[in-house]
Amino acid sequence: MWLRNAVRNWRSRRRTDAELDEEVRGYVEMLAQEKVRAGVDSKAARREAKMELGGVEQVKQQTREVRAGHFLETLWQDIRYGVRMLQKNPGFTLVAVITLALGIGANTAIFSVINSLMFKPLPVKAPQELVDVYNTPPKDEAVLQYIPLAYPDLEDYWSQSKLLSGFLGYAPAPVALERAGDSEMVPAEEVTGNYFHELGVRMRLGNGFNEAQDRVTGTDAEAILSYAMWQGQFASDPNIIGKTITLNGHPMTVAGVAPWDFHGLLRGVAPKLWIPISMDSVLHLGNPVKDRGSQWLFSMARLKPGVSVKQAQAELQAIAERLIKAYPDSNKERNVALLPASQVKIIPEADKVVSATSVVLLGFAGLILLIACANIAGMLMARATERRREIAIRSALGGGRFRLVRQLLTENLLLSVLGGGAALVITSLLDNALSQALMNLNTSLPVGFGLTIDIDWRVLAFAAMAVLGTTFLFGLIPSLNTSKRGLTEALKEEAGATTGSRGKHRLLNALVVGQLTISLTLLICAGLSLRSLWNASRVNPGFDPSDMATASFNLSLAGYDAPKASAFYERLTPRILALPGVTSASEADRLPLTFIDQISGYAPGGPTQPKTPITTATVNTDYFKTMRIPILRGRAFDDRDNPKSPPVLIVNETLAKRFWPRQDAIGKVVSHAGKNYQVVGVTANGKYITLGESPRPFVYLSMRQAEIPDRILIARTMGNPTAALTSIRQIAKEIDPNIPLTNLETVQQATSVSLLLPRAGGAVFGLFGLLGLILASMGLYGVIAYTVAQRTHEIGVRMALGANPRQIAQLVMRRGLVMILSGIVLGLACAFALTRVLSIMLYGVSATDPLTFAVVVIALMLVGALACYVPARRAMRVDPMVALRYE
Amino acid sequence: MGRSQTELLQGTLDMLILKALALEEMHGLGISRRIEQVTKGTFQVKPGSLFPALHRMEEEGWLESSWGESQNNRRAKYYRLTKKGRRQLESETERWGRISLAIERALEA
Repeated sequence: MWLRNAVRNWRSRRRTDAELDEEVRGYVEMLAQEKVRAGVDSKAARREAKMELGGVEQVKQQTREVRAGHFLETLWQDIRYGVRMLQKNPGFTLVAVITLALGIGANTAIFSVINSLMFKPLPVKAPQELVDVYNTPPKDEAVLQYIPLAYPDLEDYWSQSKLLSGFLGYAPAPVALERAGDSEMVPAEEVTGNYFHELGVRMRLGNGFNEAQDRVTGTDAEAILSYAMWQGQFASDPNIIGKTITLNGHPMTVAGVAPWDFHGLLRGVAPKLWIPISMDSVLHLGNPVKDRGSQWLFSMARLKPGVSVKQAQAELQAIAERLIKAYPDSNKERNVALLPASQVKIIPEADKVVSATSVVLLGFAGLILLIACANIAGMLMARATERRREIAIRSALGGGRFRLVRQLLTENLLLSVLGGGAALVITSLLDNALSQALMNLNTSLPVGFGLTIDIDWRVLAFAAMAVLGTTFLFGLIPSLNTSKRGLTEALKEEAGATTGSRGKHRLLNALVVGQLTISLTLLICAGLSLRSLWNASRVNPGFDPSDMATASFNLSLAGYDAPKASAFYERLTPRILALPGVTSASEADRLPLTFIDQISGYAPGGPTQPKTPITTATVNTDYFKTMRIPILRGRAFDDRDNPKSPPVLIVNETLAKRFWPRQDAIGKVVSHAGKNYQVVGVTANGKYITLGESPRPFVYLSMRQAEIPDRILIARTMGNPTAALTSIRQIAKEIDPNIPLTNLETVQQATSVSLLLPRAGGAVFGLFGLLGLILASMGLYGVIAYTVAQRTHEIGVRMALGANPRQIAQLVMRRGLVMILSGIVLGLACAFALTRVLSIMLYGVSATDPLTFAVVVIALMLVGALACYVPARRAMRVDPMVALRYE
Repeated sequence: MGRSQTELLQGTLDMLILKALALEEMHGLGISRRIEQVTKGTFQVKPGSLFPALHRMEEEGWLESSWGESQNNRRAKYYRLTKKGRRQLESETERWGRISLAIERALEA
């Protein structure tokens, strides 16, 4: 009914309008005739009739408003009118749309990243049925809250459970891919054979793993390529299935290519290859598959329909308790923790950091949007003055206040939608660039990165919310302000002759001060991040990373056992040392500052003492000399240390002070892994995992006493270390052409990964600060320029009365400077309160660093002064004659 | 404040218009005069409320309109009740009876 009327009204709107006109006019005439009959003369009768009616147009408008479809009809009118207004002021439209695009774009871009990391469900079948299965560690060894499973435990859970319909495990495990005589470390995952089938991930190419062969050790030499790997290393070869690739020296058949959007189950971490766990004992040394002591498999289970997480938790806990009884040594206090897969984004420990960072980033992006809103609100209020007469005429013709506000809001919404559209374009470009950059991010970390960042319905919904919220924020105050002005007052005013009401100026000033406040806060955050980056790149890491070459040898991947590997290094390192330009060389199990953390328990005194988890590295003789790590007391490792001599270790200063305060550490006994070690040396403190860490205790074990097949070689050179890199490769290949040799680079390159966080922080906040500064100075300029335009008449009068241009410029500048100063005072207060949030990301700079604060304040003052100076100059050039005639 | 008043009166106004049209078809001014006359001037219907009400009721299907000649040979739009309008008048009258009775009792109590 309503719809039919609406359509009918729409189609016959002209005729209906004409009829309404005739009807209302007819009413007036009949009323007048009535009065004539009552004896009033015809002219007076007409006037009285009109007055009684109260305005033909108003009555018509009131009648139109009750008609069906009136809302749609006027909405259409509003939109058409809005488009016309925007076309009429292309300059204003362009600036507003760009401002909004930047403001909304900053938010949608950041949200799209957070969305793909936190909100998007995994691209798997029925993700709501999946749960993450973890073990919880015994209380006294609790370094992590949740730990992965051992393979035998996983098998027991799966085979004894009745409430689960599937159970899968996976573990990051880098492998060496050999191609054309070269080997390359590739981040891979070892997975149970049912992994893809259970997740419902359909191969892009091929059939996937042959599940029939699963669990028969070493029989299914198959690998599945990630889409990125297939596209990159294998040039999208359509005939890749069935071809053989060489991993860790073993031929493996390509059984499938994963779909493009599947990056594994740890979000942000993307393996390039998947290989079956059953191949583990072939590809790697040792056999953790059989070992209940090795907890290395991330696990996921699928609940049967109708089973709750709680029920499954209880069932698995019962199984875990049986295992604790059956294997008291390995499974001591090993309990089960189930978490819905949707709640775990990466791993529970990392998730907290990710969500905290997300909140901080979105908060800052929100501030940018607020500045943008204030900008446009200011522009609209300035423009509203020019439109005052137009609005007045419209309300005189029967436009209700609500209708007028709606018209203005529609115009604003048009602006926002245009801005939002542009923001989505920006976001989509950024997303693509970021996805690519993540995929190609080359770090010396054993994991790869990959994330499908794109615009899905969540991002669209977020953008829509941003558009609506923005429209409301920047549009409502100016709209109300415009439409509430009295009719007669507005009609009487001559455009340009007045300086606008005081209240409005106060509001404009408040907007600009607010912008400056936010912008100063953002700039201070940017300044702090940049200083932190600067400090981090100059911090003394406790060793000298310059002029050193390094290479990683993953001999275990080539099937070397420990004695064979030691023999290899005993041939390799002396030959490297003999190279011209190499002054010192050694090996270690890893480089510091590459984020890799290896923690074991150490107890001062004897094995009965409680253990403390401490970061450890195993290093060979000459390591300290090569790295230039000072030995403070005692000695470095040397030829006295071998597998048969008493175990020794070297500690750093922090550990020495912690274990034996006010005593000499040399000669003390430390218990570790069932053996007693004697402390033979104390080194200076250094940075071990990240540059930002506070001094942490550290233990060095001797490589001579703990033979490790996979080592990194370090060689100190005179002058440029890159020259040595080729020689290192050559020598290694001469000894054994089949060993996987990777990460051939300078130590400076290898440790630069530790600057990743401060760099990312510097980039993001630097960008935020810059955006904020640009927007806020645009706002300041806009308002000052508007005031000058408004006061042209007044300035003309002042000049005619003898004011010189300098005084005029001062007049204009003073107002701007007051706003800048208020913004700075408020901004400093906000910054003092807010920057504490950043302190976790800052290195070597306090959250209230006076230098940063001072520099930023001065920078903002300069930019602000410039934004005022340009319009002030214009004011100086006002020609009094022109200004006075302006009216 | 003006809003609550019109809302209160809206149902009443509809009923008065329906009642006025119950006997014969009429144009706008006629309806307004008839209401004034039967309520002895208590209700004076302003065109600003009359026309919106007439148009709304026409869309509801209670009234139909046609153009005709007024007594002074002027083209005027005449409204008359439809069947649906007559039913509406009955139900409104009945509803009004209940309300006024209830209010009367409430005031007497």
